Amino acid sequence: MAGVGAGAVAPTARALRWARPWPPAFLWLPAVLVAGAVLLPLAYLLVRTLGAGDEVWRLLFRARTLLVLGRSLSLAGAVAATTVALALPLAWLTARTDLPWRRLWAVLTSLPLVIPSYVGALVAVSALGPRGMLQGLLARPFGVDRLPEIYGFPGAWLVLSLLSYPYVLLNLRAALGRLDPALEEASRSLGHSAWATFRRVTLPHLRPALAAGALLVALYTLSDFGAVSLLRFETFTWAIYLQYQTSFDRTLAAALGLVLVVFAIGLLVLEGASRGRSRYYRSTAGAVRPPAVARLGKWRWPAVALCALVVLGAVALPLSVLGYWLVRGLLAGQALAPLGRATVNSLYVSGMAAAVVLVAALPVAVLSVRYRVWVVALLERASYVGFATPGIVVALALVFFGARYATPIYQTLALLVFAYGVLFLPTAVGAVRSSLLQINPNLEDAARSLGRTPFRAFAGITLPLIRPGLAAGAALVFLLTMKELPATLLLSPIGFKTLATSIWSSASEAFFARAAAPALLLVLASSLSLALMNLGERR
Amino acid sequence: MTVAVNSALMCYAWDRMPTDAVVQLHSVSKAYGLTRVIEDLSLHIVAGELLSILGPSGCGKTTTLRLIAGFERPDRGSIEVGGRPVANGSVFLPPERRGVGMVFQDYALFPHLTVAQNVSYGVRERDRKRRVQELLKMVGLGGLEKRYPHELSGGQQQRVALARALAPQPPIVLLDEPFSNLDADLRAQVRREVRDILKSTGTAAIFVTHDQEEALAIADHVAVLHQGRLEQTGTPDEIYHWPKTRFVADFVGQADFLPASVTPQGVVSELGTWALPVPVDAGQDVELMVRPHDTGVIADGQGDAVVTAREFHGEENHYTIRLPSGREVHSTMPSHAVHQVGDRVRLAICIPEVVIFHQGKGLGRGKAQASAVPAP
Repeated sequence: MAGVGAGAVAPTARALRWARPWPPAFLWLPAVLVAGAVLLPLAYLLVRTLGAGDEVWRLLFRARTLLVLGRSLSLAGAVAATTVALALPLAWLTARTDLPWRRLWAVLTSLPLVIPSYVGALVAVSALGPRGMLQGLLARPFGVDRLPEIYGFPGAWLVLSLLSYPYVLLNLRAALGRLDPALEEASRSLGHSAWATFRRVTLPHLRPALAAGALLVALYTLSDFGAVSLLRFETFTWAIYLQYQTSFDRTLAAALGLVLVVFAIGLLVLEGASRGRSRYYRSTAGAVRPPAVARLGKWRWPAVALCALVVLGAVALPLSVLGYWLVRGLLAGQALAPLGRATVNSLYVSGMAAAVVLVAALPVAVLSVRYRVWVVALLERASYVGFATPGIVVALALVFFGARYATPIYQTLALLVFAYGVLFLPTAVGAVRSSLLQINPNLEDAARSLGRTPFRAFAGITLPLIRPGLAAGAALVFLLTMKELPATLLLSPIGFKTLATSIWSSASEAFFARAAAPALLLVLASSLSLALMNLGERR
Repeated sequence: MTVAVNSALMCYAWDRMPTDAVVQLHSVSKAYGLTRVIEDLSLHIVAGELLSILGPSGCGKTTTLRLIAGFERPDRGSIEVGGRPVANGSVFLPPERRGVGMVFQDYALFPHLTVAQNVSYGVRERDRKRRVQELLKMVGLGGLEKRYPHELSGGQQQRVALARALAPQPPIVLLDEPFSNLDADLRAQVRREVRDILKSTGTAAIFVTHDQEEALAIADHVAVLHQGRLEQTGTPDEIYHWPKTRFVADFVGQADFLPASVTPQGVVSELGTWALPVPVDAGQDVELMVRPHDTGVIADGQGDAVVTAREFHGEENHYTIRLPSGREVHSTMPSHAVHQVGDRVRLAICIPEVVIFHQGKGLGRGKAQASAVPAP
């Protein structure tokens, strides 16, 4: 009852109340360095764009730019809406009903998380594209020689919706778990039917989670590079890449990148606002009674069919398609040897990124949890810049910066790992923060009163206690780095191929058989780290 | 308007010269932003003494402890521990260099360390093992060395926290609401044990509490804090029987305050006339403190008071009585002294010592004269 548990009830309020005037140097010095480093790319992009003068503005306000903007926003909106429509029934079915094999469906429906968007796009192109598998299947019996166009909006919408709905789903399931069952019982006792209760009590409580999930999906769509590039839908990220590849003057690419960042920040601000309100909806900590289970009755099997359909489309079919191409490639004598190099590279660079990001995240997270002063709040905000900066933009900024000011590390792994650092620092800070919030701040005070310096109190007490959180953060960064595409594409040293870049380059040249093996490997690695992370959390 | 002040009471702070003070606070103030948490607080505690800081929540009790321990920096004033300045305008010693033990409200036991490792955490000497054995035996937890904190009951965790704080042999231990996480049945027993342990080691202790019964029961001295200011310090008896302010009178135990006036005959109130405890100019309006235990209810069909409520508490009856003026007073009577709501009664007030207040301040203390007779 006491110890960690008692402190976990209101640690933030406590930390606020006992705010120290100034944190020790072993914390703020590295934190300032980290914040400065992650701000560097964005700042450089800004300087570069503003320095280019009026011409940038003329380029930016061309019709083509507006077209790109329109495409990006309509795709983000459509994908967000679709994921909400998919996730809402799935969340309710897997959290609150007597759906047969409910636990299994709960796991299966969140599996699309492990499939990177460019693998999804690869599958879509190879299966649904012109001269693809589906057309091949239909050609002989039905004489179908054309399928609806998969390139462009439809393909991007389909792939991104099917792969990103778990973001909304997980948010919703968590919110359903937090909902005090007594509220629904109160509504029923006041004469409302089950459906009216869902509409008037449950749904309003889910709205913040729904909004936050949808905005996250919109952000994910806006910054996605893999799917839109393989499906040739010219949204911001793809336009930036084209501009960077083809044009001699790269200022426009920089300007487009900044516009994208502005929209991403807008989405993040909205997301923050929706989350801020959600706190009011949360039930008290005491509500541990499991919620009532809704009986589906004759709707049981249609519900199972819905779950099966989604899992089939988002997980089973893509994996089967990849398996098909793998077997076909192997039968055709495709060599697996080049894969070994790419796998080693992927593991190596991801491990390095995980270690670096974790070390960088630690001081920022500790400061933000234990020392609530405005400078610290500012530092924490700065560390979140990676959330709002799509990979392609970070990569572009570092290409500019590296080529001009940091030639010794340009085209080296150091710069690539730095890019990962900027991109994934927020994730790591979040993981470390949430485990720190579980730690009673009195523990460090107790160590101090028993004669330990702040540093030794931290190293001897806090660090061992947050080790599971650190491991989870490292695993998450490792996973994200394995899947990361645009920064890896732009910043890898010449000849340095990873699983992600092998998949993308094979797929963009339509060598599907060559892309299948690395894609399956990547999915396998992602699933393993996700499983490990879940295990860590449960313990 | 002259008010003669009783010197015996007001001079409490000076009558014990703090030459042997273990901890001393001089005019300490502390604010968070615009919120003043501690205002001009002076306190001291001598070796081996148990001082309780008593007050409602938000009165600054915990902040006082954290100032002494070194987790907070005072804005003004100075703090000494063992005669050594630890915080003033020019010095600020961090907690690890103060040698002040602390027992946290939630115990703050290190969850990843065993009981023995927790207790030995602050011990520097070579013979850690023996010291741990000694301490665990003292707090009655011998044999539990290998356990982890979550494998212990609340009362056991409490004692580990105390053993850990005592292990480095500090001259003083600070305890923050030490018994608030324990069940009511356990509380009385544990606090007696804690008192005995502290007394046997001769360690001075300051413990903060909002529970007046707890403070009165185990402290040698009590300091009552209200909105960051010290209202009164004294022995538990002094605090209860001779409160210096209306706040103390109200917060420590229950009390009714009856309007009264000072006449040449004494203090005249609706319930009777009492001799003045101290010389006070006639014609002043004062308030007379009457505790429910000093107010007896006697059945009397001719009486002019009426019972308006009765609460039966098993061992006692709590009565609310309406006086002819419409004012209500409270009485605590034995279990079998039963009166029904609506019964006419008269009151028998037996105040051994009269306490009166003028504008919220106590007018000193003195023996009530035997001539004090309640009005018929």
